[in-house]
Amino acid sequence: MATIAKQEKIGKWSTSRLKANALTYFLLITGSALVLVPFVWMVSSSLKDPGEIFKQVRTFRDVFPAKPLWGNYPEALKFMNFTGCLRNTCIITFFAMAGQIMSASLVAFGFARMRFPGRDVLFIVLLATIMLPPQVTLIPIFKIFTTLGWYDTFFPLTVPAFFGGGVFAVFLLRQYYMTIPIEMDEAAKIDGAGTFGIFTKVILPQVKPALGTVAIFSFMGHWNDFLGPLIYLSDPAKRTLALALYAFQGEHATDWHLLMAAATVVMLPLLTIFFCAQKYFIQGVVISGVKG
Amino acid sequence: MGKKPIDRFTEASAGAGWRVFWWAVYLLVFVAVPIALHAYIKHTGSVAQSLKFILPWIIFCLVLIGRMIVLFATRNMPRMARKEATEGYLCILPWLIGFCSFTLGPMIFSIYIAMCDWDIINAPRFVGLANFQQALFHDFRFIQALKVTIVYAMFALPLGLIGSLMVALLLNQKVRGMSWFRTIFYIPAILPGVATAMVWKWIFNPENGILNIFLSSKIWPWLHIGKGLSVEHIALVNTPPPWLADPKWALPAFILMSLWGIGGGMIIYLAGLQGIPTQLYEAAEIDGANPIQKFRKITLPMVSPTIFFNLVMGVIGSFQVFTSSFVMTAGGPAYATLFYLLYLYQKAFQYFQMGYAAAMAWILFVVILICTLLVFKSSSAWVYYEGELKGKR
Amino acid sequence: MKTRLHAIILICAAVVSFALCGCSKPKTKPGMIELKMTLWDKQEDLEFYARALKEFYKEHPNIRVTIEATPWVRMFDKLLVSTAGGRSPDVSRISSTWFTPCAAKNLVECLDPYIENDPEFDISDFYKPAVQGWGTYNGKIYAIPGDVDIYAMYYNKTMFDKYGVPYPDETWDWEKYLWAAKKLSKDFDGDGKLEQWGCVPDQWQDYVWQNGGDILSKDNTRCILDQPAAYDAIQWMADLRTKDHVAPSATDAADIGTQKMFTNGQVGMFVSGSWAAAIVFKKEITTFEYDVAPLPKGKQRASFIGGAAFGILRGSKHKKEAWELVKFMTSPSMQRHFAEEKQIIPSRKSVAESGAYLLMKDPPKNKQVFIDTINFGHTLPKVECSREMNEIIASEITLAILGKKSAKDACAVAARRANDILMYNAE
Repeated sequence: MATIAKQEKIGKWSTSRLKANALTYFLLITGSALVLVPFVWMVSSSLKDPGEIFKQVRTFRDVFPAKPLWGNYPEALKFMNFTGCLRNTCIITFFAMAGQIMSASLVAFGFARMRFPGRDVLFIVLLATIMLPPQVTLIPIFKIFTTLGWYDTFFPLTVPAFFGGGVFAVFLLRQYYMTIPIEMDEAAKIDGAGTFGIFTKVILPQVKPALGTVAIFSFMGHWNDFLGPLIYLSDPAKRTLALALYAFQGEHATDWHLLMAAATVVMLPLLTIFFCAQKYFIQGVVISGVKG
Repeated sequence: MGKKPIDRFTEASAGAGWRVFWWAVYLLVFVAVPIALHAYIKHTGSVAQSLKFILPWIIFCLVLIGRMIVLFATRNMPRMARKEATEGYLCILPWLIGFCSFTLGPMIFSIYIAMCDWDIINAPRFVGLANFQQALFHDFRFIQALKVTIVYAMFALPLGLIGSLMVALLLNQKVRGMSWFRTIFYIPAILPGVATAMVWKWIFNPENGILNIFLSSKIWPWLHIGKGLSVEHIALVNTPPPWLADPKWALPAFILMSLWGIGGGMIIYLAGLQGIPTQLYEAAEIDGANPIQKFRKITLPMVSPTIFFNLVMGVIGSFQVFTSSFVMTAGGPAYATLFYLLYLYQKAFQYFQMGYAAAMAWILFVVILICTLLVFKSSSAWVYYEGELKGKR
Repeated sequence: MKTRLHAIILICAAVVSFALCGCSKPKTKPGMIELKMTLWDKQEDLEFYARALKEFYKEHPNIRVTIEATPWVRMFDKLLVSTAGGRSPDVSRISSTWFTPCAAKNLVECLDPYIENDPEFDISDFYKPAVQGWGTYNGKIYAIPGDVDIYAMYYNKTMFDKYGVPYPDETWDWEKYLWAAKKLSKDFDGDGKLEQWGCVPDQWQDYVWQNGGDILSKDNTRCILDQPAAYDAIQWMADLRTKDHVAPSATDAADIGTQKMFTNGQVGMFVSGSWAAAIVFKKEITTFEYDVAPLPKGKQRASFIGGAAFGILRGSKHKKEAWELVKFMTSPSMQRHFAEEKQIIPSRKSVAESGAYLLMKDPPKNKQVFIDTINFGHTLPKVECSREMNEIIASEITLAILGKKSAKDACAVAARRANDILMYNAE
């Protein structure tokens, strides 16, 4: 902003502009380097052999492995039963995402478009639940699920998503719905669409970006969830990736090369998805932050 | 407008037929079934076995009660509005069910539990306020957990807020490749907590972690930095701290680690910054303002709602630290990193003292509420809203 | 329309609720009784059990047993939660570490009536310390001990020979122990840091007991670690690291752990349990010979004893059959299998002293040491809050052992905190 205005006035290659740019670039590059150091360290440690890990690092060269030991990766994956855990994580994430999207879009539609007594009061109640720390309800919910016999199953991790889909998602979608002009609803009504028809034919196609954001954040939330699986799953075959990584540490606490390989592998799916769907991420954060 | 045949049929029979139907249903569910259930329980002698009949009955009752509530609430509305209202309720029904079963019900249950001594397999034993007394007065770990969490918040929050604002300002320039830089800074915020915790545990390793290697490396004398520093600083460089193994350094390690994740708040700031109209800056230019004045008089006030949002979220978030402490130190060494949520988890799921944990959860709720109220109250002093008042809806 | 809608909702609700309740009831085959047993062995060991259970099926053809392996650390949680959820196993292996909370919370059935009504089962064949330690609560028997873990001192024979130090035996006391450790601690390259250490003195509780002290008072109501008997012992043990330098410090052991240091040949004497030989040392000790000796005595002889037991969970629906399974898992033949294949010390005197365990060819040779020490065994405190209390105490004592605090101060703090917990749990 300020810089642009200045640039336009001063000219492209003036020294002050170069100086400002240089400083910016310097700060950016140093900052990025600092942020990337843990990644570099993780990957380079994952390729070292056990002896090298404990060798004293004296020079810059020592940070990197002498000869990358790619074999660490298959070993780590085998130990943590990667395919099984990946499958478990995918199942849980898929169902939770589906539930959340279906449920939140419907509920938000109700709050955005429908008129019924108590609508605004209920919406305030909905928002108030953000303030409630989840720990307050953690224990009774645990008791409910164990009484239902759902301990050590995936149900406690997926079923709640179908009932309300998370406050943020509902809020986000409602804001988005309200930006859709009501004329489109009325046009559909004239064409004979019922309420559900309006929902599916008019609203849903319009809110694909917001749905995309909800999907991405839902994916992230459930893929990274640690406390939920920790509490509700105990059978090693049912572990999610997060749990498997934690359990890995228990058995191989000092096999840092394997641990780092495992950590890299667990991070990869997220990084990939992030790079592909960056737009949705940033957009979603923006909408929830600015409008909130 | 022609009516569909089914509608005409339904309307015609909407009278007597349906009324009889609903009366029969009500009678059945509210009268006949309880009698039958009661007899069945007496017969089998165990409640657990008849659970599989009780639960559907409860669901039926709830549906009927729901229906009655809806009919009552919309009693004065014309038919079309009534239909819309019913459909509205249906739309939000998933949330209503979720709210009652996963929020409201548990909250009430949790208040009761907090006043009981309950391990999950035996019946709860009412003890009044004993849990709260024990926590506040006789449990050094509770006080420690509060202390750890508050100290962490006191450092990590301001550092995080200021840090992410600075980074956002930096990233707000129009230079080439900016989106790459933004991506790099934001990545730490999206990673699974367990993975980052493990990587940082390795980074903090006293002997072989990259942090201590860096601190004790030859780079410092080379940069002649040691010359102007005090004795403590030189000591830091000569014997780098044991980080997670030392009670004095473990919590600072966590605070340091939290700085890595400031990308999360930074994105929100970016959005806020980009919402500042450029005319303001141009007008300031014309008035001869220097960059610092521009920052203080334009940027800061315009971005204060975002700061407010981040502060509220940050307060709530700092009390939710769990995964990193669980994975990296399990609360140690010597309870130096016993975060509140970690201790709550231990009490609930390792020692199975559910009542105590529930009491802790309510104390947490009160603390967060107080902190948030304080922030809200103070917001009128420093948060600048353009246009109409937003605030908490 | 509205009413039609409502009727549809009603039907949906009915379907959902029946589905909900249907999924929590597993089906059982008529005639056959299915028992579920939980153990904490690894998946590979389950074959061993499958083989052993064939004998059980011969005697009880109408019972089938499915085994579920759960990691040791989650075992107690799983038993508790699955019982609360109505899907509890029938029989479980129970560790001495959490036996008391199990019994106190009524997780396991009282076995006295079963023992009385069963003439073939002889409880006196089991070692008394074991039955007392992790089978009895409040005078009633809740589990049958299956094996015994007892701690003694493994030592590196090759190293002892090299430096001319006589092998440890039952005459050794603390002074002799320190003397030997000093002789074995060497700094090879003269850099001021030791590469070889005389001993690794773990288990501070052993030293407290040997010095005549204890963790809790006799009636289990007060923590008496703040007595001189206790903190003097802990101070002596801490000094081994910090003053006498005969034991590796935490940083020395930081990355590979003291056990690996012993198996690498860097430590002369290592205190560990009877289980270590088969599970760890068999594979890892390749460069030297080792044997086992009794722990040195302080004012008296004492050692840590623990083990596992088998019990019937209260959520079991077939308790009579579960009792048969418990009897089988603790039967002489089963214990002989355990002893022969895994070097696990049987809890039955008849089996342990018959030679099944003693005659095993694998080192250590001096296995009799373990059996002799059983009578000097002390268990960890037997109170319902033991897990929590042990953790609180340990976190303070660790500070003393690391040399950050004097043992007297640490013990005073530990005792105070332990008493708080005991008081809270007493009400």
